Amino acid sequence: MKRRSFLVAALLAAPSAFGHSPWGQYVVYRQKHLLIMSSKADPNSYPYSEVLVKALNRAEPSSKARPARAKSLERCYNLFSTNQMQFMLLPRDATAQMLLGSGEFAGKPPLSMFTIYEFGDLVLSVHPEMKSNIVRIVTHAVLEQLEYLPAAAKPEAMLKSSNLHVEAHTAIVTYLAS
Amino acid sequence: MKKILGCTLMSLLWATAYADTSDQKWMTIVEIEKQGTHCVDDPNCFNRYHPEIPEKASANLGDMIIYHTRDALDTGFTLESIPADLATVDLGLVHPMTGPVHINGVKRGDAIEVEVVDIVPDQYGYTVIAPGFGFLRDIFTEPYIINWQLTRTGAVSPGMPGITVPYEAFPGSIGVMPGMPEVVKIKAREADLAAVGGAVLTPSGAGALPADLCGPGARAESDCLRTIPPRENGGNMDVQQMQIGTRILFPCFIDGCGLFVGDVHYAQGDGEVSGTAIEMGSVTTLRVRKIHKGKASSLDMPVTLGNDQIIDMEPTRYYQTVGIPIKAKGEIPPTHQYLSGAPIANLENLNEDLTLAARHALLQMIDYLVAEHGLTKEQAYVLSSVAVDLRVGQVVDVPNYVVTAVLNLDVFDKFRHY
Repeated sequence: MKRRSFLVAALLAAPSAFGHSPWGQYVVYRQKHLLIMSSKADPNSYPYSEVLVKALNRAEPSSKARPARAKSLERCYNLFSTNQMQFMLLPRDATAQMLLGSGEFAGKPPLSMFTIYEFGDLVLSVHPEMKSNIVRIVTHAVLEQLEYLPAAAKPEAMLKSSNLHVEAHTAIVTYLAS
Repeated sequence: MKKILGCTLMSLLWATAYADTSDQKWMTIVEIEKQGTHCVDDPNCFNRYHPEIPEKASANLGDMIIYHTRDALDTGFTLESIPADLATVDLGLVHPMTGPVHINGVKRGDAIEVEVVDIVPDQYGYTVIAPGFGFLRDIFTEPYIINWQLTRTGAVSPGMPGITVPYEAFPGSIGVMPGMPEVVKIKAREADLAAVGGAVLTPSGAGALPADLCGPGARAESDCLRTIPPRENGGNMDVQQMQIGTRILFPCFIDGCGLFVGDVHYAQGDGEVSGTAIEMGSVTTLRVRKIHKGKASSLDMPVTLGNDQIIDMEPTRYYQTVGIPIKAKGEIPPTHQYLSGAPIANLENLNEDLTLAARHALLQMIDYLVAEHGLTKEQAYVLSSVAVDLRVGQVVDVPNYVVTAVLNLDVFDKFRHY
């Protein structure tokens, strides 16, 4: 796959609402880094996000990946639902509850999101408005780094995931065929 | 003999009990307590300005109004917080304020004189470098956090070894509610500024509280002002001289005035250069000492009245850098990237420019702290935010106005006696 500059693509996706605000550069920071949001409420997601960030930066240095730890699952939900964050690494249960609007998130609108990859109990999800080529690049980066990602699911197993992003699916099929 | 001794002891005990003073009361207290973990859980908390935000209590002249306040970012940061936590701050929640309180007998057009009676700090505070925010946002682009342990004898941190920042607390945000005419005027001028690239945060419903007035789809969503800029009603002035014991005069724009406070700082340098001071929750007591009938029109902005508070804050030893408006060729600092910013790119010397002079003074201070005291650049920037005062030297010696940066050297434990 021919990669385009991750950074340029990410910035092209930038909303303009904050362009001239005091937060403008803060928003740009969130856009020029691939931020992997985890939650302090879960003891495993942040440590694993650090491992994942290292792997992504090795495979795709232009992603400038960074970990981003939210204080609670509710903060994750709010930042993801308002598209302030686009990538989220959370336990399977929490991901499912957000997706369905159940459990801790009962009464909240179900969160629209897709799976990119799974690492044991942790699910890497992406916002539905994220550009397709970015999802493809991130999936490729994960696949390239599988040996450094403990408990990563086998690519064949990922194809059975019911909520897999279509671009992640394409990337995995391409990977398995190569 | 035993009988005499017993009587004497009884007398002493009786006298001790009688001499206790804790049951003697004279204050009338109005207390606005915190409820829940965050502003969204708390009916006494709001984060936008609008004249229809409901008042949570009423107070008379002289009443002690005790506000339980939250930290500026409503973050949930803790002593264990790390830089990765900064990227998940919800920007819509800034700043949580406590109140507003209706001051009985006050009408629109009056002014109130508010005394800062006391500030009790939380045990924890933080200073952050938030990406894209702060005076040197083009240089410090990565998140950074210092977690402070607070007592009234000083703020210390494992992230700042050998440094103790003195307790000089004040309300970063304190003010009164704007009236509807002020909201209309402010919105118009800020929209004009935004149109030419100014750093303006226009009304936004995401995270706005009270949600039923200011939130997404609510009837006043587009009129609820953000709390970042200080304005005629006070608010986020971040003026460290508003210390305990000072009085602040506010013009009132609504009946009852709507007095609020929040974003309390344990300590801050003049400039608050990294974008944050030592941010903390607090219990802050205010008292309205006077009502000046019909005097609002004589105040363009709030005014502070003090005595020796300003002297108490002065360092006993200091290091001072001097800044003039010079810069590198080709550079346009972020503060100058609006209106006609581009033509200055190739100038190395700007004309009568205090902002650039302040930048020059601050950069020299950071270099000094790194070279002479072994701090990292990030530590130096944070220390400058909480303990370095930017001061105007002169505004006459054209083209080079002077701003100095003054470091209170007393913050270094090596210069103090313990």
